[in-house]
Amino acid sequence: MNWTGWQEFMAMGGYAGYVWGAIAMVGLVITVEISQIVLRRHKCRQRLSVLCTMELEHEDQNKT
Amino acid sequence: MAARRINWYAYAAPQRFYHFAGRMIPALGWLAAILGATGLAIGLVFAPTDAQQGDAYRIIFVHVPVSWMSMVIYVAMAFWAAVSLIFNARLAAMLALALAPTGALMTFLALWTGALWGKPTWGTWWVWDARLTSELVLLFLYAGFMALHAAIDDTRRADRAACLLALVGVVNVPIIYFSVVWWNTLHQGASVNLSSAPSMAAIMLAGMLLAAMALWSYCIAVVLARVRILILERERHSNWVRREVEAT
Repeated sequence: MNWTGWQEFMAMGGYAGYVWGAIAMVGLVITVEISQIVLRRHKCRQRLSVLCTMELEHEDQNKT
Repeated sequence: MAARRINWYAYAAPQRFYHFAGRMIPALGWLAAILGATGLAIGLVFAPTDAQQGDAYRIIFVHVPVSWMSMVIYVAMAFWAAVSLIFNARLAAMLALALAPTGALMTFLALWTGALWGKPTWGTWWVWDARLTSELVLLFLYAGFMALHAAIDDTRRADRAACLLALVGVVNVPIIYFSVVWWNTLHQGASVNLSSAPSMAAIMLAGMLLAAMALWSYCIAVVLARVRILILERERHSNWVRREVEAT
């Protein structure tokens, strides 16, 4: 291990802002991207299930 | 005994690809998590401090993976754009469209992490050298691809126009890659290439390659998830989508 303790690890030899700033942005982008996809999928399935229900009702009306 | 030939074209059918992609995503997600944790552990905890750059060099463990992905994803996007134009294949166009946002985010991250690395080591957040400028152009190309597609109402026409743009823009990728060879750049030359031994310490290389493989898995998983949503949206009038949506 390169570090003798947590303090040293977080300090990154004085470059903490740069190193953790880079890694934090990567983490943020990954989190945002995944949540965007989950949200979009949820909305898509909701909208499609409403459309499917409407189409089924429409078909039933046409039959009667 | 004759071997059974695999019909690759079978996966050009949206329904079949939808289910195939669905099975791949969890496996790729786990692979990304495990490789990523290992790579970052090696890079941030176990790799030694660099003699010249101190611990600022550790940005390499995210900067190089996102930069590689920004280029790889564009090439993949251009490939599927070509397939969609040549074969008039709907699914290929959907794949190109699904790749764009992830590629754009990777390009943004390459520029962001690069700037954070440049400030302590070069003394500047930005310089208009060939590597940085052509990477910025790549970001504009991704944005242009998505904007052009959104600007055209007819879906198939939008696909064709955007895919043409993707193909025209792919010339930028070898420019980015060779920029450090062709021009006198502030950005350093390649430390890792296919024809000679790497010029970095083995443990640093190991961490970097693990992180790169992790990000590759992540990007594939995310793009497959996005293309599945596109398939549902575009194929919504077919019976299999109805069954899929009503199943839950």
